[in-house]
Amino acid sequence: MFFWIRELIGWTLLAVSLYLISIALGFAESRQVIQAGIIVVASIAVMRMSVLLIRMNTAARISQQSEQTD
Amino acid sequence: MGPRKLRYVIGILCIGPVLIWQLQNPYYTLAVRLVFAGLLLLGLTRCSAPLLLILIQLDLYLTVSTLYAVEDPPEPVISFFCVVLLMLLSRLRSSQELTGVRSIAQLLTSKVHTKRSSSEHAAPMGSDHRLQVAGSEILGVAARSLLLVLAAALMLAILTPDPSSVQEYGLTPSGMHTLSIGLILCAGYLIISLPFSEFHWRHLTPNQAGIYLRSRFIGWLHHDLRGIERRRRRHRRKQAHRHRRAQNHSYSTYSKEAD
Repeated sequence: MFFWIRELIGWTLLAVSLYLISIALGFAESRQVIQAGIIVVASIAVMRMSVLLIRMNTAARISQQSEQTD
Repeated sequence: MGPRKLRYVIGILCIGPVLIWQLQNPYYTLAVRLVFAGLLLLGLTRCSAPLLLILIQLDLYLTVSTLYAVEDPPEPVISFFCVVLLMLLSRLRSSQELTGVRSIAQLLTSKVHTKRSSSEHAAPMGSDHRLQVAGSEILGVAARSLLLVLAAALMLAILTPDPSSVQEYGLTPSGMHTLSIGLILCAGYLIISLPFSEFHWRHLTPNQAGIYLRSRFIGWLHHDLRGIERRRRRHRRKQAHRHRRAQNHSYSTYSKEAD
């Protein structure tokens, strides 16, 4: 159960970071590069954390499954 | 002609016209031409695509003001295919160096073989398994790179420099253009590479998952141990590098004596 909650939180954070990137793209299209750069940095931080959460969760799930089968 | 020599020949054929054009460019001073000649020699011996891409970027940086004055645009299609070819050659070379596989066909057949064997039982981190990861990775990276180059070409075609950017932001049109493209490419890369990397991540073996978890936990809980291990690894790598250089040196002296 905890695995699925963590996975859900990870994917939600990933969606948030993609939303931030879409905002940054909007800034870039209207040629506001500085604002877009700030948003991109923030979105990359959120994305890195979300990917880390998903990967840790997946690795933990695979390890636990193998332990249970052993 | 072996695949390695063929790669070098294709690389030289791709970069030759570009570099000759660089060396004959009347806008450059002698010092700049000498730098290009040095890079050309380096490129021929190492055949490194990133170096050549930097060279092309340098050329764009130096000639961007003259490009706008020219009525006929440069051949974007030829440049595009040259860049794609160089990128694929570089990727193939680095993957072959990592895996020790001679050709793409061998890489694909070994991948199928190891996939069959891994379905029967979970294989440990041996050489066969490393080959499987490298085989799937090379295809994923090639697809990602191709998509990115396509996106870059599209961006270059769509986005035009805005002359008002000098008044608004104090940036030249080309600088503004570069920043905009950089941001869009960065976002595109993230969006494209995420599904690929997550898809590969789902195929971890329990051994690999355990190694990843242990390394992460050590990084978080015992930072000093991680530092010690990193130093050890660096030391081992240096020793291996020295050993390899000594072996190469002895081999070259032996072949000279044999000649």
